[in-house]
Amino acid sequence: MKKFCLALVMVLSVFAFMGCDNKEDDVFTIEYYYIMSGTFVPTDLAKVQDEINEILIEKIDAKVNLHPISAWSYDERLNIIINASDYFDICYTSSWTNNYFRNVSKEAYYDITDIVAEYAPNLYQAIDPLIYDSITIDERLYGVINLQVLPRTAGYTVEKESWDAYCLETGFSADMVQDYTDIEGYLAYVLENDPDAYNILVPFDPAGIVIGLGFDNIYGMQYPGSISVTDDPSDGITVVNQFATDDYRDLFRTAVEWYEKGYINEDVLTEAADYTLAYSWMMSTWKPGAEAEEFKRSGNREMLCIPFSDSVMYNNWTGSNINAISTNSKNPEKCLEFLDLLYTDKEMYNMLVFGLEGDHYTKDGTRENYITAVENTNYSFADVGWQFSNQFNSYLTEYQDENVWEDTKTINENAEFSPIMGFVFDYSEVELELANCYTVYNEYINSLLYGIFGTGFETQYNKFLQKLEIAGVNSILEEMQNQLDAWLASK
Amino acid sequence: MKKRTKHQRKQDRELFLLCLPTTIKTLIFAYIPMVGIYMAFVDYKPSRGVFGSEFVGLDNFRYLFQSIDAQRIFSNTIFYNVLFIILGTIVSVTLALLLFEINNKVALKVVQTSFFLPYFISWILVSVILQSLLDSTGLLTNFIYSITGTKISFYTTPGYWRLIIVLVYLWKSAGVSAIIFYATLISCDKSIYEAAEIDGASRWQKMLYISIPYLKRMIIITGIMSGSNILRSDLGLFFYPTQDIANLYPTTDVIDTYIWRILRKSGEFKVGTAVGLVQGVVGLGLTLLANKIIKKVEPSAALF
Amino acid sequence: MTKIKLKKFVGNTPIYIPLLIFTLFCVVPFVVVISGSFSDNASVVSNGVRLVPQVFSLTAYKVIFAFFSKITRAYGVAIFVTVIGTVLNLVIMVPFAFAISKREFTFGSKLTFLIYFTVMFSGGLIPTYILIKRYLGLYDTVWVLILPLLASPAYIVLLRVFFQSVPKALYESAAIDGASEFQQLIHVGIPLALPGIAAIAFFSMLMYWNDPYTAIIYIEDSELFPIQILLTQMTQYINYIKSNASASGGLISSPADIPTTTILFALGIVASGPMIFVFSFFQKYFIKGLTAGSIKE
Repeated sequence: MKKFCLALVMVLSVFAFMGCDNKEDDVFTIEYYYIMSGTFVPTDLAKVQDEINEILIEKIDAKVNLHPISAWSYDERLNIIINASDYFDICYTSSWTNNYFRNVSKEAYYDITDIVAEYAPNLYQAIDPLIYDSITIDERLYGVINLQVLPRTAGYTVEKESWDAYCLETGFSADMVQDYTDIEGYLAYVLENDPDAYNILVPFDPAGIVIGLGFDNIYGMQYPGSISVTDDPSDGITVVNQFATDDYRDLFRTAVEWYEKGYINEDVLTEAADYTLAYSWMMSTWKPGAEAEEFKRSGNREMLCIPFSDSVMYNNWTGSNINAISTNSKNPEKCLEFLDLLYTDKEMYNMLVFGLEGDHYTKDGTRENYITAVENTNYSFADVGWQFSNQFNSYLTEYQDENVWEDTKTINENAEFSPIMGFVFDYSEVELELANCYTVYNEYINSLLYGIFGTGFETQYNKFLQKLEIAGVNSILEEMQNQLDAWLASK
Repeated sequence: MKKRTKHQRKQDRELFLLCLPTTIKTLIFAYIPMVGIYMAFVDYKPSRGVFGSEFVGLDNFRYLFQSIDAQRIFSNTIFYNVLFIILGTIVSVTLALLLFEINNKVALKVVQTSFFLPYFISWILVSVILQSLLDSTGLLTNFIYSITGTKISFYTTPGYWRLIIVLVYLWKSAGVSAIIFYATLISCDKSIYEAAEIDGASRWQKMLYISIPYLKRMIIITGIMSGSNILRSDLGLFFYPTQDIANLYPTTDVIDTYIWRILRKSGEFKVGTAVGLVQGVVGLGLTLLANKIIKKVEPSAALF
Repeated sequence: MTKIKLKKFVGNTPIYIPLLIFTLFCVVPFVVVISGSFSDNASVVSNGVRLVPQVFSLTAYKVIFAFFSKITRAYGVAIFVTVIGTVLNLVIMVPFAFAISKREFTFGSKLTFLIYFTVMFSGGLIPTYILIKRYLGLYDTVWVLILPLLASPAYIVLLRVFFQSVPKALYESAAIDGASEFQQLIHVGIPLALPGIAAIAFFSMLMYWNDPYTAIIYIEDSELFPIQILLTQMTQYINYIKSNASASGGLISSPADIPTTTILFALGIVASGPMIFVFSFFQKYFIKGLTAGSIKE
């Protein structure tokens, strides 16, 4: 028996030492986790990483280790990393993935309040302090916001050819679209001319409708509790259950009508929308140059993007594009310097996003700032370029207008701020109610958005609201109102 | 412990050695992490670790018990599990008995292989196939329409799904379970069957009085093992065929799918751990109870 | 002569008919999967799958085999894990099950309880992850795909039932001949419990082959992905693109040219194909009469 215990201990200790890494790194290496949209890590990642590191060592005496993770598994992976307190330096975080606020309450992120201005001056000053307020909790800041298009504008993407034909026939035009209902004429036109089309309108997008109706969510778009962006603080702002408002009720009713008329695919519940066949869809982030992205998404068809809501800096969305540093990071200052470098150094930014000139892309001889990707290259993080401090550094590709970044900057400068910009909600008292409301939202939202309830709409809609009441929506609204009033009073 | 003879001690030692690798593996991989169950009682903050986080008593259990859907998920979970145990056993045993009657080697191979085929079809594929049957252009939907003139919308009517889930469950696992019972049958002593044959027993009599009693132990054991997981469910079974369509939740939402959704949104492992603990405690209670009863009735079939 | 044959046939129908029905129940969906994998995407999306492809197409397979080198590598990993895993699994489970099947074994029921307890209670993902990564150093190695899955209590209990059916007298006669417990296992236990061991061996292979979770959590190096994970990745990627483009507020967009539905079928065939061939190897153990009661000391 004793012999075996000894053997057991020896075996275990072998395993224990297997995990030890004894190499000493002379240069600090930043472990950087971010999202990529593909499935497989680009084969040349190591090569590009080496080039980047050459610049990095020279400029800030550090190296970076890139960890791109598929968007679909990012949440899962980061969840484990953070909950198991695994080592990382920088990770992408936001409200819709790897939730920033949750992780702050888990004490997973480093408090950069006192060091951000010194070590990431350019990056930090690029964003209005009011926006930074929206991610500042108890006066402490835990992440840096990336620069890209900042306001949110709801819009529609429509297939250009049929839209032009429609406008020609009816005299309609894009600037006449002021509201989400204004494309009904176009939808009818498409149905008339192409009766077999089964995906004329991809069903309403939950983010799109929130922005389209002008509600700024206090906790998140899946939860009741928002204010209208047209509210004026001097009149006092009321927190409402947006799902119970007439705006939402009318929208859901419209969805039912449009479903009955056949604009929405009958099998919408089971069949995911096929963007390569659909004629139109709502978008929640209209921006200059959106056509280029939609071109790709639509299966290489020419599309037109029509905004219909005002461009507003939403408290819920604007600040929600963050790079955060881990509490366990061995050198947070260097991490900030790295992020700042991505902001200022155009060459390094584009190296990260597009790879190496010659290997992965070629510069356009005639137009400045334009590039063409090398055929069959698998290196490109272009469609997630908004993660890397400053999207305005980016080279332009084929379908982007040469002024796209200028136009975006203009929008950034001219957009209105939501009246509650900077307000952070402390959800700790109503966590259970929020979880229950989320359950209810999840159960009803798709049916409501797709308009499949038909004649049973009124009953189901009322059931939805009733269930929210049972889940505790009123306590949530009350808590939100109290906190909001206190915050407004303190300004 | 009762006094052991020298011979007994020798035998015990030898047998224990045979048990050693498994025991070590279990101690390392299962028991060491088990201390983490304590996470169910704390407000877990990773940087403080499980034992450094603040104790919150039964707070984390609220998400399960005070959930707005608590009653539904509990009743669905138990309903399906009880039904699966009873129906599953009946179907699998029947299939095994039928298989046992086949002597033709080719037929045997074909049937056995077919029993396993559903196991290879991943749940995602199952959902696609089901969709081909049940959505608005589906084969079954069209068939029913052509006969009765009504167009059923399967994916928005929870009522049909109890039956659908049970059928899908049986399709996927009855064959595989049957193989276990079949393996039990063929490892028995054939001479009893031969003696019965000589005594003029019919096929059905042999089945009833020889085969089924022979399977008793296996049936009881598999029954108890299913009982240990009375509050657990196969996520794949409940999540994919229904495609997580909320309209079907009333009849298909179980504890595990509910918690999975919560976890996916909030990433709060403390809630998952709390629920796992509840499932374990109930499972343990049921197992011990069943074990006690079986010990009195059929001691060799008891688990421990 | 024909009368007897007819009678036998009719007498057999209650056997054959239910079996036939169930067999079809199992086989038809599989045929549908094969058909779907050879169909073109558009017809499947609009009409659903059928028994025979409406429009024959190899696109789905072409897309998959564009990743050919990755796939062969993934097969290699999966085969290694499955074979080594199953062998190791049997080596540690069979003796354990044999031991606890003996009523005289003093620690038998305690050990059974020890392993069975872990079915109901588990530390959960995070503690296990910390143990495996930080203390055992198995992260990103091929062994993490094998070791944690060993010795599943359910399989052990099933094996025990098979060993329990071995008549005690046979063990005793071997013991009288001077056999140690280990020798009893080898010469008496295993031969008589062979169908059961073969069944569990096959289940064990299926477990390793179909394992959808371990690699996703513990493997970062894509060179170590077994085939199931590789294909899950591709499937999940497609599903994610379909459903999550909106939640990101439009920040993530989807690619246009993947045959999103038929590829799932082709992936299914590619992933499960080998196992079906392996099963035919195991089938000889399931033919009645091979081992029953044949060993008499």
